Amino acid sequence: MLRALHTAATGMQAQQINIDTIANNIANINTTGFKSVRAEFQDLLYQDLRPAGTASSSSTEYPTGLQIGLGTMPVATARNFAQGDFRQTDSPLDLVISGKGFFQITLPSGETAYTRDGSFHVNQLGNVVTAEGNPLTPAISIPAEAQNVVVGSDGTVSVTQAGQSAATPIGNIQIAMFQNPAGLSAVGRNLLMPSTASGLATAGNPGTNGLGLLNQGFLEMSNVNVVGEMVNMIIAQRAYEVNSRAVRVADDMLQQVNNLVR
Amino acid sequence: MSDAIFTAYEALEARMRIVDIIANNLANVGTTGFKRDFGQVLEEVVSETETKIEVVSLVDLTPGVLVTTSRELDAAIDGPGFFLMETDNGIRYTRNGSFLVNADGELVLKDGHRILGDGDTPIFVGPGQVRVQDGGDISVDGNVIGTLRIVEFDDTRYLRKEGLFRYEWIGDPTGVTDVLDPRVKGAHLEKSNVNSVREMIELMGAFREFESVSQTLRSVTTEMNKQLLAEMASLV
Repeated sequence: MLRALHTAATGMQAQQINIDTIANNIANINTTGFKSVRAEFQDLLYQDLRPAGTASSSSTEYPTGLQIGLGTMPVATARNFAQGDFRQTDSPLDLVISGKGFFQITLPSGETAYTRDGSFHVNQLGNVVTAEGNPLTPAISIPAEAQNVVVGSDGTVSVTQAGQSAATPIGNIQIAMFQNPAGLSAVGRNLLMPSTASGLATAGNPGTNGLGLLNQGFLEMSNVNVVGEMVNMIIAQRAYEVNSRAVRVADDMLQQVNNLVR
Repeated sequence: MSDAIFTAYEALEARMRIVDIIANNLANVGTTGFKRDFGQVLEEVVSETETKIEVVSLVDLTPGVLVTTSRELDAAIDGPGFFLMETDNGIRYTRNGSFLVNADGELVLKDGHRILGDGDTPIFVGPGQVRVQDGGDISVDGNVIGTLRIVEFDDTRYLRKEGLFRYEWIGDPTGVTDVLDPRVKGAHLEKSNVNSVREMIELMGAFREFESVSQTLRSVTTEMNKQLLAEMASLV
């Protein structure tokens, strides 16, 4: 029977996933540290109705075969970790990693999550926390009487106390990287969690072992390219449309079959 | 008369296969590195009353459009050739150059299969900034650590599509040769070579052929029924 109906349906489903991914990218156009995602597809299995080289008689063979593919399926939603643009904020606890690496965040469950979003704040205890209140790891606590906070590019945090001219170091921000950052799983709220595919985190001071450097007073903007996403959206919509045409033709053919006998 | 019915049935069946092939092309209009299949109906006159109808499919290896991506782990072959991938069933070939580094530090495809370099060995890149350079060299932090192996085939009819962006070579092993000076482009991907306008035209063509055969078949069967009724009436 006609495989075309099911085949075209896989094409439509694939384009739906594509549109969903693009819509999520566009929705996160203003999300600090957001990395755009690309849906990728692969062809499904093929039915070998007749392989090339099968004998057509005792002395001849078919020079070409007959293979019919069964459609498409999503294989991955890959995150593009290209650097986003920097936006100057002049807020001392807004940090950006220029290069590889993730800030380490401790969740209420005790697990460590990873993020590129470097907009930090001080909570009532003086600890450096994310906008959601989860503490940065290793913990940095800023004394209440500190006049200003300076974060060096290597992650050293120092404060100037009232009445003192020299800055006192109070801690060091460490960042982590992964062998395969694309294998991290997004859990929302700008957080990524490690998986077996990503490998284990290797933490270190910024600037060492290929880790990026920190910049104070900047935020990393989303790396979504609006024009590119709009173009992809148009392509996805047209691809959906053309697959729906294939469904209609398959339907018309079946209708013809039904009308063979009157 | 019954020969006519059988031939018409084969002709209908053939158009269904063509529509299946076109539907698969259309479904893969967004699949990186996909090559369309080209279905053809062959009619062979065996005798005055018998026609044999066959459908064959060929892989159309016309290059797809290359698009730039900002990912340094993307690669596309601008010209002939295939990347090699390691699977449980042996070496397979692919045009999909959307690579990743897995947790063990090896260069893999998005479905986890390892990509092979010179000497058919997996490419270990380890941590660091990996980049596919133009020409197929893989560099880590600026140092070249390996080269992608790119091969081509003497007769692409023996390239069997396995699906999941893999091809299997079912011809003679001597038909596989390395591409000298492969035109690999880093930070590019090859789009599917399916042109939806062309597929739509072929889809319409196959549908109209199907329609005309089914009209013929209907008139033949109506005629047969009439004769049958007339003969039955004469017997009563």
